Amino acid sequence: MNIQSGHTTRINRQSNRKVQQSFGRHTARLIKALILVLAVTAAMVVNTNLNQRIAETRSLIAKEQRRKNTITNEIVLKRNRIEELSSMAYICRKIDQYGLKLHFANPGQISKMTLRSNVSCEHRFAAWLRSRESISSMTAAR
Amino acid sequence: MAGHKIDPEKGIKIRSGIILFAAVTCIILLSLHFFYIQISQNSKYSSRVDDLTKTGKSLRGKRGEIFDCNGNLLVANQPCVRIIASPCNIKTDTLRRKAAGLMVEYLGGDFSFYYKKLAPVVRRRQKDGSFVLKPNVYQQIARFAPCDKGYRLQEELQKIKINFNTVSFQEISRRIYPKGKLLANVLGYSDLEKDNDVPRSGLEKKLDSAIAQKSGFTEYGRARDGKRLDYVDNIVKPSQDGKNVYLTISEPIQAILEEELDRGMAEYAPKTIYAAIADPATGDILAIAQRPTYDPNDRSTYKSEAIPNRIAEDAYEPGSVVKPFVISRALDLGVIHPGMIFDGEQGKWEEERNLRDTHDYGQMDVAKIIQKSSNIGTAKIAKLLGKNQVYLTLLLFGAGQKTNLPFPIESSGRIATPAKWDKYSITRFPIGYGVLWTPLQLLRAYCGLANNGLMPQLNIVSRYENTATGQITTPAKKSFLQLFRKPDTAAQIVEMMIKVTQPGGTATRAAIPGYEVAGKTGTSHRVINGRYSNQKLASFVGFVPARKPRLVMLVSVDKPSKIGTHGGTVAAPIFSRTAQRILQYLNVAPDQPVPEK
Repeated sequence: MNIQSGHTTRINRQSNRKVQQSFGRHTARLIKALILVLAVTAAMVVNTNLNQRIAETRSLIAKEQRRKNTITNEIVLKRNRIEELSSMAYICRKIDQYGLKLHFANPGQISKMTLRSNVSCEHRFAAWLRSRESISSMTAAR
Repeated sequence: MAGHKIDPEKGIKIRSGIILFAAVTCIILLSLHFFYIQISQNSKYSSRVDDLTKTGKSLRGKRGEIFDCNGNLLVANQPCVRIIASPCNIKTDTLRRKAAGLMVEYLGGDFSFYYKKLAPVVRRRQKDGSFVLKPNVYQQIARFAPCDKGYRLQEELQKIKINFNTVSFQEISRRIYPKGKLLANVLGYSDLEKDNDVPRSGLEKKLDSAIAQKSGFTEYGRARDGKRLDYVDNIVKPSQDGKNVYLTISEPIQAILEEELDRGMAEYAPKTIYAAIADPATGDILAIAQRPTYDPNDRSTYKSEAIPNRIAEDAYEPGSVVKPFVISRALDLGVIHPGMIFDGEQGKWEEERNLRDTHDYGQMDVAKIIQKSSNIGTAKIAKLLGKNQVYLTLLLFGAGQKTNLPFPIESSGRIATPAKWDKYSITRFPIGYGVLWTPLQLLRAYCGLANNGLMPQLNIVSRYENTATGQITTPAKKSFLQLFRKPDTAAQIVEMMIKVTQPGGTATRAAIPGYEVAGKTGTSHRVINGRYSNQKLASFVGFVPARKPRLVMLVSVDKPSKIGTHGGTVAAPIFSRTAQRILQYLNVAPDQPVPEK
């Protein structure tokens, strides 16, 4: 007959409590471990993700660097070409080739104007216009 | 037996304790081991890993460039690609043919040339003379391929699965000279050896300490198959660019001079012509040229007679261009005065071992001696001046002293001390024989005459520019040397030298319409096998405008063989044409109204 009596002994109660406590404790531990594992996994995922992004960025930097180098090289090549084409000897050769008969201006043909003040050309022009207008208004008044 | 029974809970505790102890011990041991590896032996293991994965390359930096005074580029760096192949790695002949086809498309040239280069095996000669077939592991496909074409070829090769292990592309930089022959002898040239620029001559060589770059080093990780692990280089030691050099040379003036020298070569067919132009007020050299010359970009023009910078390396007996030095010194010391009359000895002074003039000039004043370039008159003045004073005068005007321009080789000329002079030296040295002058020494001396008796030091380097910091440094300017004690001596000699280019003078062809030109011709016999020959060296040195000079120019024509052989007929026209164009370029107003053509 497996019929338990209505009252429980102290030992039984203790063992029951222990079972209940150990279950709670195990669950708590499991949750803690899960949280830990989750945290570690999340950290690893974040780490991998960031590493991936760093690698991608670096690759992008390297690509841009190469592109920059290519553009710099092209600029240098173009500059060298411009220097070749703008050399006096080249220009003179072309003038002869096309029979343009160009030559330097005679010294008397060139005159350089020196500006007497630091006022910009626009201001001077505006001042000149104002003076012209005032002269014309004065003559009109007469 | 009951006494030996172990309590099960206690047993569990003991076992747990043991396991815990073991685990803790393991963790501690592991930690200690990690500590040992990661911290104590860190450098050892790091370097071992680096050895296995890291590779590096040197960073070249940029060699300094050379510009003229207006910033026109004279020597530049040109990026290009060197293409190296390991043809033994190309598996099939079809692939080889495809690769050769692409190379023809992008690099130009012949298909068979590339196909042969990409052969999987090559014949190698053994020590005993026999041939063996060996895998073709290294072939240079192109040394200086243009960057853009090189990169496009690389992309196309990768499309047909020929990767960098088979054909590699190294980015290198080579020296180019955008203006070709212009100033070639002064600039010099440099070679590329093992990816380093090795200067061979000219300013490239002499200024190498300033313009040479300092190499750096960078490293990056790589996998076992050679693929890069790090995309970004880890620069261990950064490279340093060389300094840019700005010269005092003006490219347009240089171009005009070189064009006129080419014309002179065609007209007079000489062995050599050299010419130099300087600003007398500062001593800045505006142009230096010589013919024959070479194109530093074209190896086929590299000839032994074309490469040396003759204007600095050659020293010669210049003839009469030296006469104004001694005469001006005699005027300055008061030994003679402009009105003094000298007898022309009917064109032949027998006392002085038949010293001759080309004509009998009769009675000559000092101005006429210079105008007619009288050897007898000059010799008489030199005798009045005395041996020691003549020697000191020639030294004062720079004979036997280097100009210290930054050329790898510069001759100092030669002048003997009075103790070694024979009895005819005093009459021969002042007329330009027996003393070796370099063209640069003559140019410097004439700068002194043109600059009111203040002789400047010649300069060719205007400034250095540090490309990284933008800092500009200028070489220290040296002081002027005062040639005369009296303030009016320079003006007196200039007045006399103006007459040289006027009717009745020896260099009427040096005259420029509208401008007063002062100068002096010189014609000397070349020494061949220790004897004076009939081969001549014709020179003209002059400055213009005479009273307010903007430029001093020397023209020397060695062994002219057509039209004439004298300074006045050969060198003077080159001077005139060149100076006229340069004055137009410099916008120098004429002294007198220019006659209408």
